[in-house]
Formats: sequence, C-alpha cells, structure tokens
Amino acid sequence: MRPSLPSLVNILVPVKRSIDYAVKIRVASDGKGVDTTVKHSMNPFDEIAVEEAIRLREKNPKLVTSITALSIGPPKAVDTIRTALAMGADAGIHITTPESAVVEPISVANAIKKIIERAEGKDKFDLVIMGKQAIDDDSGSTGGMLAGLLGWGQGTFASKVAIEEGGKIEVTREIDGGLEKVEGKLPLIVTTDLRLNEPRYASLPNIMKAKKKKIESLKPEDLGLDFTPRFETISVSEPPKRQGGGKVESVDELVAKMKEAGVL
Amino acid sequence: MNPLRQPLTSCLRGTGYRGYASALNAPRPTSSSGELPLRLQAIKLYKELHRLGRDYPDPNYDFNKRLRRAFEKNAQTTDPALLKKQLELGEHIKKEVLALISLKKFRHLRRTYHPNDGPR
Repeated sequence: MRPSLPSLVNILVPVKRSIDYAVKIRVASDGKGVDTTVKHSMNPFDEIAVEEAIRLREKNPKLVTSITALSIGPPKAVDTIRTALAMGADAGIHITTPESAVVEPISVANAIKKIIERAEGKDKFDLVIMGKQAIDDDSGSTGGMLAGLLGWGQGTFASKVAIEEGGKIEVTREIDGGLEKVEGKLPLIVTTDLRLNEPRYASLPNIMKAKKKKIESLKPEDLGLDFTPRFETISVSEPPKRQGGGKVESVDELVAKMKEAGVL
Repeated sequence: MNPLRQPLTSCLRGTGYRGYASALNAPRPTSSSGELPLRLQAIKLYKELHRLGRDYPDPNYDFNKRLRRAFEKNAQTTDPALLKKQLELGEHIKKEVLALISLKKFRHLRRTYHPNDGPR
C-alpha cells in the first residue's frame, strides 16, 4: 500500500472479443454452442472501460503513465486490441488461444494475474479497469475473481470513478435501487457499468496510428497457464418461439376472449 | 494552380510517404487558408464514412453502396462553393451515423441489462 497519491499509475484494461451486439445469435449445428462465424467486435462494457481509462488520463495527465490493453483469444482478437489502441491505449498484450477454445472466467482471471505479477517496478499495474461482464457469456465474474486472486480492493458496477487525495479512488457503484459510494486505495480493480461514460468512436487517423503501436503476443505456455475448461457444455438451445396473436372481428368477440383469458 | 485539378500525388511527392493513408495522417496545408485542398477533403471524408459503414447497425441497409453513389453523383462537380456545401453535408451525415451507432449500442445494452430503468 502506498501512503500518498502515486505519481505514476499504470492502467491495465482487459478487453474481450465478443460477437457484435447487433448480430442475431444462432445456435451452432452441433447444439453445443453458438455460431461464431459472424461479425465480432469489442465487448461494449470493455469499450466503456477503455474510455474510462482514457478519460482518467485526460483529467489527470500527469498521473496516468500508461494504458495497456490485454486480450485473450484467437488470432483475430488482435483487431479488438487495435480498436482499444485506436481509442487511445498505448500498448497491447495478446495471449493467443486456438480458434474454437473456450476460456473460462477463472482462467482469464489467472491469466490477468500472471500479467500483473510479471510487470515489475516502474511498469507495475496499479489500476485494472474492466467491463462488468461480456455480452456473450454474461458470467460477470472475472473482475471479482481477479480481485480475490490478487488480494486487491474492488469497485464493481462503477457508474463514476474519481481520483481523490492521498492515492484513494472513489467509485460510485450501481446497486439495486440506488447508488453506493466506496473508497479504495490503489492498487484497485474497477468494473464498469453502462452509465459510466459514452465510449468514443476511433477516428480514421487514430486507427492508422494504432497500427504502429506495439502489441506483445504471448502463448499461454509462456506464462505457465493452462486454459483447459473445467466445465463441459451439454447443450445450447434457442428460447421458445413466441406464440403469434390473432385478430378479432368484433368487440363482443374481444370481450369474450378477454374473459376467457381471465383479464376481465 | 486550381486545387481541384491538382493531382493527389503532388501533395505526397518528396515527403517519403507512400499511399493516401499517410497523407491523411499528416495533413499538410497546401492552400493559403491552411485547409486541405477540396479533393483531399473529399477523399478523407469518403474514407471516414466508408469505415463507419462497416459498423452501420442495420445489416439490410447497404450504407457503403449508397455512399459510393452519393459521391459519384458529385464526381464531376467543379464549383468550389457547391463542393464545400456537399462536404458539409457529408460531415453532417458522419456525425449522424456516429450518433446512430452509439445510440443503437447503448439502447441494446440498456434493454438487455437494465430493462426496468425507464426512459433516460
């Protein structure tokens, strides 16, 4: 624990490549997953996390030294890291996995822990900002697991993040029926909720510049990690189809139908 | 020299850059007003809009095709005042599409994860 406001904060932002929000999800033909041959993009909650890291730096230019984006996934996850770099992150780390591999939250948390432990001295990460959940598997558990594994404080479902005097960070959390303010010292983990900010759209010049930024590519074995899933997916099925409505000819018929349904 | 008839490569010559993208990265003011020549402005706008077209939320709407048709329609225009007006329209559409993309995303997330929050 640091006694005062650290002069340098390194922010780590884990981002996930997930199926695009606008795509209609379909069950794969084997019934054990979803069709992944569709458009992918960065998980929207992670976009909010990247945006928040950039805004923290814009507000406190001297405080934040670096913003690093981390992604675990197939080779195409590099595109997701590039998006984060185009938005304003400085460097990227990519842990490659095979195309169809399923990486469970606990494996992700372990991997992020390894990355954080690997960085030492000046490059030490002090703040992890991540999306509260991914829109594909909706586990919402990686942030909490990571905090537990590292023994760091956490501010989950953040709708406001403010850096206070004395190295403290005040996080306003969205909870059932209201807001809760928590205060924590660095190092800290923040998971973002929808209301935190509105992510920017990377401009074309920035997309071009991002191509020159460095992305470190790692294999799980390099870090001594094993991504073998603990769970097996038995089956995935679509929700039941909605029953269509019918037309009525007259008011009497409508009243009769409503009585039948027990509304009247 | 008429900025419209100025070949694109003349802006790049001698700078060591290759391709149009690098011209966009480091815009070199060539006209006296400090602005890019109109031709470069149009190319820049087209590239930006084309990029946005990838993320257009409705897959049934062929944004990039319409974009191309709209630019083709003005390809022979040489009147600077009219071109400026068309560029302004393009900038306006760019802003609208950006707003549309972020709004669609936000609404999708709110509907999915905060269904009981009411209008905002």
